[in-house]
Amino acid sequence: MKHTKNTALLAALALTACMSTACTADRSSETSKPSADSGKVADTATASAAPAKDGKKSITIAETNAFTSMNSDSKTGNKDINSKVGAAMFASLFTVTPELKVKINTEIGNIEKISDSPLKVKYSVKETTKWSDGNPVDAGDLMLAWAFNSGYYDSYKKVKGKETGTQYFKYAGSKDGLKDSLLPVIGEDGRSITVEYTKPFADWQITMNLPSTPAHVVAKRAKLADENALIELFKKTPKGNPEAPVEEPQMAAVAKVWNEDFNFKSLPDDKELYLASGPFIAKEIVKDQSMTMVRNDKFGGTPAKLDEVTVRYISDVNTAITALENGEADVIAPQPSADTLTRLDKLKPKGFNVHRGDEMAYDHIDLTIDGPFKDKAVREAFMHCVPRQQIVDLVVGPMKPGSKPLNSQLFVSSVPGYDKAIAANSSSDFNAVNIEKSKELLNGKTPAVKILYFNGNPNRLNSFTLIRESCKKAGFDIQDGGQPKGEWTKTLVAGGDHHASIFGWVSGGVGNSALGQIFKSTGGSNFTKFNSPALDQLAEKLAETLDPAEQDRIKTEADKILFEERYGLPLFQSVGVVAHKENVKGIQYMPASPGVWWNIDKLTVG
Amino acid sequence: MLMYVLRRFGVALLVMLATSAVVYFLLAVGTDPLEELRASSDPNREELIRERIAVLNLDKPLPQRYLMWLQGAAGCAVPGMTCDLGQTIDQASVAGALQSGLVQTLRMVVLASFLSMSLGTCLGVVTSLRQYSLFDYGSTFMAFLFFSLPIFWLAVLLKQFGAVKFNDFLQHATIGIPVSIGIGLVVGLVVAGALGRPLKQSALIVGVSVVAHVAILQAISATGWLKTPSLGMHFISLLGAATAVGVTSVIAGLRNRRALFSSLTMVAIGAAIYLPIQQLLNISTFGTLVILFFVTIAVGLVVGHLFGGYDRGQNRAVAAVTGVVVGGLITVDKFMLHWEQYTNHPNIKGRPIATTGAQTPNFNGGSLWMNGLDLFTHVALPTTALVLIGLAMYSRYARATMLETLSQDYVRTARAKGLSERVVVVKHAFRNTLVPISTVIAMTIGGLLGGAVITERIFSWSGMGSLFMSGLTNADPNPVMGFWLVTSLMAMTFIIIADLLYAVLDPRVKVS
Repeated sequence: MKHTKNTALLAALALTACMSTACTADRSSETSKPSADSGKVADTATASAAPAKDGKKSITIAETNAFTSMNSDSKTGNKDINSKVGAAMFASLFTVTPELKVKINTEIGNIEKISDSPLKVKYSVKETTKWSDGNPVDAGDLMLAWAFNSGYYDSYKKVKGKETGTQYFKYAGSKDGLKDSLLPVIGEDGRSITVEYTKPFADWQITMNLPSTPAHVVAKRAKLADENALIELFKKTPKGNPEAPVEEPQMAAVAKVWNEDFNFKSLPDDKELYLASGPFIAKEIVKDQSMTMVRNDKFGGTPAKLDEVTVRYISDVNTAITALENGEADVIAPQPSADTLTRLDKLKPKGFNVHRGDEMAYDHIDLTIDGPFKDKAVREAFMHCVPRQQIVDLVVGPMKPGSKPLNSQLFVSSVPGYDKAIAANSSSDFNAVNIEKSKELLNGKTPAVKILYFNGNPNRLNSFTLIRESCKKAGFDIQDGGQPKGEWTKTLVAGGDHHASIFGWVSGGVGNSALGQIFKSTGGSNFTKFNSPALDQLAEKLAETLDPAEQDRIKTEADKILFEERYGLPLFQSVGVVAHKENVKGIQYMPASPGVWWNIDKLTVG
Repeated sequence: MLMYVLRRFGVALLVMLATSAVVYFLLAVGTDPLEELRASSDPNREELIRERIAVLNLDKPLPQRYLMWLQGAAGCAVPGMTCDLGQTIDQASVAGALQSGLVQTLRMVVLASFLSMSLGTCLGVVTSLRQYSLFDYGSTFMAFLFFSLPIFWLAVLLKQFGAVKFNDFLQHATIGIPVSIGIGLVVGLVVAGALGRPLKQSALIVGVSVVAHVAILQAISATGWLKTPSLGMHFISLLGAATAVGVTSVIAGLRNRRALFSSLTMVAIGAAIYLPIQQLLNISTFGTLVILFFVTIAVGLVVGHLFGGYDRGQNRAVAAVTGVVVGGLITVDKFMLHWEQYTNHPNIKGRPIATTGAQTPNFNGGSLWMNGLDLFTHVALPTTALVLIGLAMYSRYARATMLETLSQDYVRTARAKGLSERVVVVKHAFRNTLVPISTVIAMTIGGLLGGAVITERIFSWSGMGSLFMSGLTNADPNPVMGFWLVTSLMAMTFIIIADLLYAVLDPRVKVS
């Protein structure tokens, strides 16, 4: 018995010792040869990935969302990730630079204004610009782009809840401008079209680009003979008339293909659905995991420097940072918080670079021109007690030390016109809290002010708390109008019993639509009943001004009016961050869409 | 019996119907799909809102929307109706998303639940046999420690030490003497505690363990074994022999020499075919391995049978189990032989243990072994996290049940009859302990699919959990309802199975 027990004991010990450490073996006894260079110490195994052994230059970019569609112009495909990878796969007539300037890509084609009155814009594509199946990108593609951008054929109307007519292309963007254009004239070379506007349109340069959906594929899938048949269809179909809608079955078939066929989460069997015209072409998609693109040899412009770009979908911020640290991602752009940035800064010495900059999103406090704030003096008194620098120090300071409040309603700080605008507007009057001035303007009154904000957002809550503390001293009776997710937007839009609201806008960066949309008395996103005839006039004028310098002048003027009329105050721009391995070259912080993807063709590893 | 099952399913159906309504209505009331669009400065804000209303039928009254969903879902069960679980907010089919989500989640939870069940039960049984010992207290403490750790924190620790630091370590793969002594000490203490010997013997065990570990780990370090691991025929034989002794001592007792020899015969067969079978393994698929698994069991049964004796059943069981373990060792060895090739793959870059995703993007190892390693490096961390947390429940449950069983009269009777302690524990106590445990297992399997929501998010797996989470954050009702449908169906089914299982395992219980 004892003997048995001891044997068992020894066996168990030997077993656990071996299990917990594993034992070495004589490799010569193996017949299989697992590796071509077995025995050699792995020299590529270093923390900062040198170009891989096979000499391929590849990088992996982590993104929050999963790819869903090649057609980011459609409502279904209109997601940030789709336009990001789209920037890698599709040729573009223009690029927005990190300085938020529009740059025409002349190696792809051109956008020229050939007449001011009436406004005529010529879009042309160079002969070298081709789809990856060899088919040229030409007038058919431009016509398709124009058709969905303009909604020319739509006859949809909704009166008193009753819907009539059809909306063909479910385009995600705004149809302003192009909806007032005439049927384009196709150039003789077959690679250009000229669009004539019936009204001048300020954003003519950025309103239309090449499509990500090849016209010849759309035509084929819609059972048309070829691309020319599609062009003929566009030519012969009359402009949609909402008053007397006519069914256009062929157009409906084309639109259905455009709306639906290019949406997929893994590569379809039909290669024509993912043809590329840009520097990269899709090679593999693992559903909800990753997407790999390789260099497109048929690209007409300067070839991309990288051989391969992989996107990994990582929704959790901390997971993305660990993935960067562990070499599973080379570039990440996580939603920053003070913790995120501390973690990233700690990685710097281990061979990582961190860029931070301003985002296009900004928080602001708007005053409802009603109740106590009907009186301009009360609005001014309130603006004097908003502690903007303190809010910035608390919310943005930990992420980006030395930040200043945003000082313009119409320009974000990254835009060239910003400095001129703040010199002209009276924002400097509100740089520091001035309780005395505030008290003087209130003249003994103690108006009750209820502030609406989303109380699930700590930044907004902080802003509110600081404003309440400060404005109490001036005599305001500040009431907490914070509301949860889902509720606050309803109240904001419907107009509740609040007198002020703290929330965020996202600036488009380029373009001129904000003035008319937000601040015009009839603007669709004007939630404050703000009404200034002078500003309305400027907004109308801006929409029809073609000269960029003149556009900036009008916006500067409007910005001045907004401060003079004591509209409210911009608070701060959000902070954005990009972190990447040192050996990834060419990364530049880009505040607007498509983020790091804006110069994906110029990135390399070295 | 049949009536009972039918009645249970009927009730389950009613429960599901009621909960589906509750979930659907709560979702509709609690989330707002138009939220992000409403406070937008986009010039075509109105149109986007209109489009979203049309996609989600928001213009229809809530009860009607629910009935529309119910009709589509009912179509999946009733023949002749079309199965339609609706579409997500970006117009992808929910049924498709559920399918791929299910695969991902199963990959993550199957191994983890198997390990936590088996390890947890073993740990529970061992601690119950050494009740109130230092080992008992120690393992109880550890189990509760891991049980109470929030998984997101545990996951962060695992990623930092199990992946980032471990991969850094693999660059050089040298183990220091102090670390070796530490590992030896810990292993020695655990083994000594589990065996529950007197102090002198325990000290000897710890001492031997420290010396053995220093020797082994230094050998590993010096030969670069971690970079080019393998077991080889020698170690497979050695480990196999140890397994044979261990398995025999538990199942048949070492006195049963025929059982011992039949299991040692299996080890010998394993060692003999080790070299010839490499050629087959080189071209193997997963299916081949499954076939080999069953062949091994069959060979074990035959070998056990041929050894004869008074209890052939024991011979067969011992031989089959040993055969499976030896086969497992040969398989592990084959994976190890590919390890170097895997870590040097251009997409792996020498950092094998992954922190995110279910596979390396764009990786195709070309063989079962390379792709298996890729799966292993991705599953390792989430599985460890889930096992550490799941271990506590099973071990506590097994310990409590085992203790209760050991105090039963029939155990005392068995001891009084003069049966050996092994027979008392394994045959009389453990078998009866399995009855309540198996029902717990069945019920937790039902809850498995929905249980790894946070783990999935932290490790960026796009399974059922991420489907549910993204549905909630996007105020997208259909994927959430799809998630609910699958998880509640699983839960309901397994609860019924658990009840039936109880009746099957315990003849005293009757279903009616």
